[in-house]
Parts: sequence; C-alpha cells; structure tokens
Amino acid sequence: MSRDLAPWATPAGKPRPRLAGLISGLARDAASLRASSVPAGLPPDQVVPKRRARAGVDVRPAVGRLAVRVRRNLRVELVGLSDLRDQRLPVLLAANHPSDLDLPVLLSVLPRGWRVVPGSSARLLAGGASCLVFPEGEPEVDGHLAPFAADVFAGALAEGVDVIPVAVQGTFAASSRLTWRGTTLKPRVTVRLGLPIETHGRSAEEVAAAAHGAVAALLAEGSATWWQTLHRADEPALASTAQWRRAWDASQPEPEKRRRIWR
Amino acid sequence: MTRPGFVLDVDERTQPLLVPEGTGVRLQTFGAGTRVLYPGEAVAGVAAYEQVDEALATPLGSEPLAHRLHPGMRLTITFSDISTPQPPMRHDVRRVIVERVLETAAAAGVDDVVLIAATGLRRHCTKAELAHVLGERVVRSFAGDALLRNHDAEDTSELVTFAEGHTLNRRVAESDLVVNIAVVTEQTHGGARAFASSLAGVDTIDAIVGRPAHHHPEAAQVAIAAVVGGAEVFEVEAVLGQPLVHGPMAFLSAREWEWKLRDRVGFLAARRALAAAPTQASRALFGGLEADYAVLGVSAGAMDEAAAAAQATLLADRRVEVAGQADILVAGIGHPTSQAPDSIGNPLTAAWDGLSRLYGAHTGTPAVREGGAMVLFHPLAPRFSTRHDSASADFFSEVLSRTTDPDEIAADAQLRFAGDEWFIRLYQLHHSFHPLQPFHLWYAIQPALARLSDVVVVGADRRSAETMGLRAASSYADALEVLATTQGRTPLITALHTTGGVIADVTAGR
Repeated sequence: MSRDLAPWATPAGKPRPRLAGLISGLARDAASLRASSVPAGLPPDQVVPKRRARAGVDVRPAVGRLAVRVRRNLRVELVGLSDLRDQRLPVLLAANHPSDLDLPVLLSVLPRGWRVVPGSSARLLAGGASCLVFPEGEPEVDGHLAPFAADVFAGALAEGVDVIPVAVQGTFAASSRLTWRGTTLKPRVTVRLGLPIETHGRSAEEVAAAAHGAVAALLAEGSATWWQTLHRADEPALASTAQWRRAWDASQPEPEKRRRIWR
Repeated sequence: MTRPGFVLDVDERTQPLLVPEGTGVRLQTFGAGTRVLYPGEAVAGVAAYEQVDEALATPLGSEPLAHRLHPGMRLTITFSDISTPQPPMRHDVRRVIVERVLETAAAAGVDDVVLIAATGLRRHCTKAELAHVLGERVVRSFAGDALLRNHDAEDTSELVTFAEGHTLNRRVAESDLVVNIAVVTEQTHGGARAFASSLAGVDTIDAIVGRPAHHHPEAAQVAIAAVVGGAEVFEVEAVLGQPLVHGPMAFLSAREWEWKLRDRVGFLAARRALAAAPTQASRALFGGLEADYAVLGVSAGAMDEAAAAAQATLLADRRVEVAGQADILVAGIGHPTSQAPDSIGNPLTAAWDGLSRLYGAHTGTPAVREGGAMVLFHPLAPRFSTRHDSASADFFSEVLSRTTDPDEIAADAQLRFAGDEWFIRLYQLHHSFHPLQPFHLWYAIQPALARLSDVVVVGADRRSAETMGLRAASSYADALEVLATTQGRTPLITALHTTGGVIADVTAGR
C-alpha cells in the first residue's frame, strides 16, 4: 500500500537559464552584498584582524612557457611537498643531477611561492630567493649519485637557511627519449623532496654529507618502496660495478602498469 | 591566538549572512533578535609531526607505542576513511600519523603490517582516495601486495565471530596490536562506537547503529564492548580545527563583514555559475572542495582515555554558549557530508546532516526545545549517484513511498535490502554504499523528528520533502510564516552558521 502524497507536492524542475534571468539574478546577488559593516551585536573579543589567515606560501607549481613545455613532454610527479608547506623560507635545494633536464623539470614543479633561482649565493638567499644547486657538479655520465661538493653549501651556512634534499628520478632515461616526437607515452619523472636539514652549528662538510645521505635515501625510496627503505638502511652497492652497468641501471624504464579490463 | 566561536545577535542593521544550501550558497537576511552561532576562526595547519611524536611517546593509559612493538608481531593499522573530515583535508594528518607509526614499527623490526580503511557500511575508498589520505609513500609501499585494503562487512571469510554472535574483521582480531587512527571533527568521531561500527560485520553494525540500538541501547553497548574487547587497540585521535578553504571559494571560511573584494567576486561568480550551469557543475565546485585544518591536539593510548581527551579538546574548541532553547533552529546544509563524500549527496544524506549531525551537536540539551521546529536550507533534489547510492534511490522511491515509520521499515524492507545480492555486490566491488546505509540514515533522524513539531526545508523539491514527511517552503520568510501557527509570530530563533562546526551549550535563561 502506498502513502497518499499531497497532490500539490509536485517535483521541481531546474528552470532553464535565460540571459535576462541571469542578469537580474546578478543584480539581486550584488544588492545582497551591500556595504558591509561590523555588526553591532558582535562580542568585543571578536576584533576584526587586519589580515586574514592564509596558507603562508603559494605551493602551486610554476606557470609559463617552460612549465608548459616540460609538462607536454614529461609526466612529472612531485612527492613530499605536504611536509614543507610551513617551511621557513628561503631554503637551499640540493638536488642530484642525472641529466641536463633536471633544471627545467625542477623549476617547473617547485612551488611558486619559494621563488627558486638556480645557483647559490648568500646574496640571493639574503634577498629572500630560494636557491637550487646540484652539489655533484656536472651531470653524471652514468646517472648515479656522485659525492657532493661542500662549497655550494657555504651560502646556506652563512645565512643560516635550511637545506632541502631533492631527488630527481627519470630524467637520465628521459633525455634520450624527448627527441621522439609524436609519441603519446611520456617518460615519467619523479621529484622527491626530503625533510629540511638544519645548517645551524654544522660545517659545510657535515651538511653536504647529510644532504648526500638524504638524497640517496630518497632515490632508494623511488626505486623500491618507502617501507622497504625503512627496513633496508644500506643503499644497494652499485658503485663498485662497471660504468656501463650503472648507466644501464639508471636508464632502465620503470615497469609500466598495464590497465587491465578483464580481471 | 585564534578567535573562538560566538553568538551574533542580529539587529536591523546586520547584513545578510551566508547560508549554504546543498548545491549552492545564499546570503540570507535574518530578522532582528535571531541568534547566530558562529564557529571559531579557521586557521591554516602545519604538519603535526611534533604533536604526533609526543602523543605516541606519552600515551594515556598505555605504554609508549615503541614499547609495544617487537619483531615477529602482527601489526594492523586501521584508519578512518575519507568520510571524515568534510570538506576533505588538503594535507591529511592521517598520513603523518601513519608514517610515524610505520617508522616506529620499522625501527622495532616489525615486518607483518597491514593497513585497513575502517569503512564500515560506507563505500569502499578508491586507490586515489587512499593516496589522498595516506600519501604516495604508504600507498605505493603497501597497495601493490594487497596489504592496504578496505574493510568489508559482508565478507564472512574475513570476519571472526565471537561467542555472542558479534563479528570483527579477522585481521584486526588476530593482530598482536591494532593502531586505530581517527580524525575528530564531530562528537560522534573516534572512540569505541566509531571503531566497532566501522570494523565489524554487517549484523553487528546494525546492532550498534540500526533500529535495534534504538530499542535496546544496552545491547548496542554490549556489542561495542565485545568488538573492542576482541582486539588489542592502541588508539590515536587527531582533533581538527575549523576548515579553511582557499581559492575562489575562500569566502566560505570568512565572516561576512570581513569579506574582501575577492570574496565578493567569488561569491557572485559561484552564485551565477551555479544558476547557469548544469547540476554537474555544482558537483565540480563543491564536490572537489578541499580545506586546510589546524591540528588542535593528538591523543593516543587506551581507547577510552584517548577518545575522552580528544572529545575534551573538541569541546573546548567548538563550544558556543547560548542562553535558553530556541523555538526554531535554522541551519543551512552545505558541503558534502560524511555520508556522501566526494558528492553533493541526496535528500536522505541532507536530512541526516540537518536532523542528526547538526541537531545533535550539543552538550546535552538540544539547541531547540521539544515541540519546536527546524528550518533547513537544501534543494532536496531527488538525484542519487548511480554509482554510490543505488540502494538509497530504491529506498527513497520504494520504501518511503509506502511508509515513513521506522519500525515498519525495519520489519518490512530492511531484510530484503540487506539480502539483495546485487546491492551487496555493488558494495563489495563497485564503491557503493551498503544497502543498509539509507536505513541507518533514516533511523538516525528519528529522534529529532520525534522531538520537533515541524521541519521546513527552504528551497526544497516539494515532492522530495513530502516523501520524507518534511515540509517545503520557497523562502525563509515563507518558512516562518508556515511555522507561525505552531511557534507563534515572534518565535525565538537560533541559527547555526554551518560553514564550520559548532557545539551548542545551552544554558538556563532567556
């Protein structure tokens, strides 16, 4: 047996939008936004602040031709930014350098609000810009992590800013594939940001060693999983093998996850 | 120092105030004498590593987590699913907690770890949603080996049965330690009841939150005790502040008299876009909404102690004192609710949000008197997600069209829905809500319906309102006109500013 619903309770349809209605609606809404004043009934402890609470730094990635070009050719994934959203700025970003693509990739994904510029100098850091350095020097011929030079951290020590370890993975193999125009499968590049390393009271060598260790850990996390790297403190020892094996290893494509329709 | 919640006494000069209404927002003029309960100020959060570390190292009523972990043990991490908080947290605190727990476990040499989303009868989380909650690191580490999964209340092979017939997730029951992680933005979040109703089998969940719990609340307590007693639980609860929305919808987090030009433009653009665009566009605006939350406190340890500490923190933040119960309680129903995450919801979830969640947000005395009325703002469009809400659509059209009596519904229709293989298949494999979800929503709103003389929904579809036994009005003034016969021409009105959370603390007086 059904309930007897009131006959006048008919379903409502959404009226078709008409230009005149939209304009009159806009006028009505604008009228409701009439000049606002602090209500008289407001308790005295509810003073109106001069500035409203905001998420300190703009963490959206960069825009511009470079960013568009990078995203057109690569699938770039940024991991670890959540922990750095309240990071004290500026910072010195210390990245590994497997390829010449690292710089455009990093500049296109790092947060806008960080004002990242390549190079390192105490003057830039003092001016509020964050610096991006590659402590390995030139890109490595085999794509593997080389020792870090300590002198690039001098500016960070002088200004007392934190060092953020950055691991870039995938650009070593991607650099040779970019010439293949028309391909729909973009090479995947992952940028991992580590937790900040404090420079206060430490020498440049200590900071370089700490940054090297952090970048190595981030790279290991990318090639295995984070949970596995928590269990395996030591990095796989590839350093002693032949150079061609290291290059072969660094340019090995990631196993593609095939979409399966049928299970 | 953030500004706490407060009561705004409306006078003739008070400007129109923001009211969410499901798929949109409006500026509503309230009459002089209306008391509007405003939530505290929303502030941006920071990564809460220190708070989490301190809570894990100095738990309440338990040894530190690190002391309870040892090599060779079975560790299970359960966590509240994407249904909380709403709007979703942009940088989820559960990721921080899970990472810290896993780092502690790895340092202690624990290998056997499984993560389970405590979904209960809610829809299973997709992999993308799990990645949003737990972060890329955790999902990539565990999802591939099926070590990260959703709780399935229907899979009897994955449930253990206790002597009294109550059931619990097998992995949870057989683990040496279960770390249960909850985010708390409501009084109903966290604690033993939420744990039991999210990780038990369907019959046990029905005994806890279904119609039997209404008639036999003591039996529900026994069921909760049986489920929680069946696992060795280390509880971690994070209490969140008010949602801080960014971008074009930032006006949602600001008080109207503090709106800048950008907020005004955002409001106008949202209003006009929603008026012109199809309904799907409003889903893009509101369904994809995210917010920053400050972490007000993290408590860990034994279930009851940690939950009590979390609730005390929540109450300190959300409590707003208001003198005397109102004749009419007014509330706009806004963002996606925890019963319809990533969705604009349906008439049942809207009714639940107004008559269960908002009506129930008090310290013991409801904000509206017995025999009073409630005015809600929602279109109640009879639209149901074909993916998530198939059972709700059938419940709405088949069950409510026959009767609205909860006991009759429980006796007649519940068994049929609960045994429907198609619905259960949708729940287990296709991210649908369990077929009992609409029943539990309907039962949850009954205490409010029994105490209130009328519920009027402004802007509602008349057929939907009539189907649920509610009343519809085209405007707020019409709603008060309708209620004038029962509540008088000068009723005492309390309104909830529902862009944040408020717990009404009704004091004597007025």
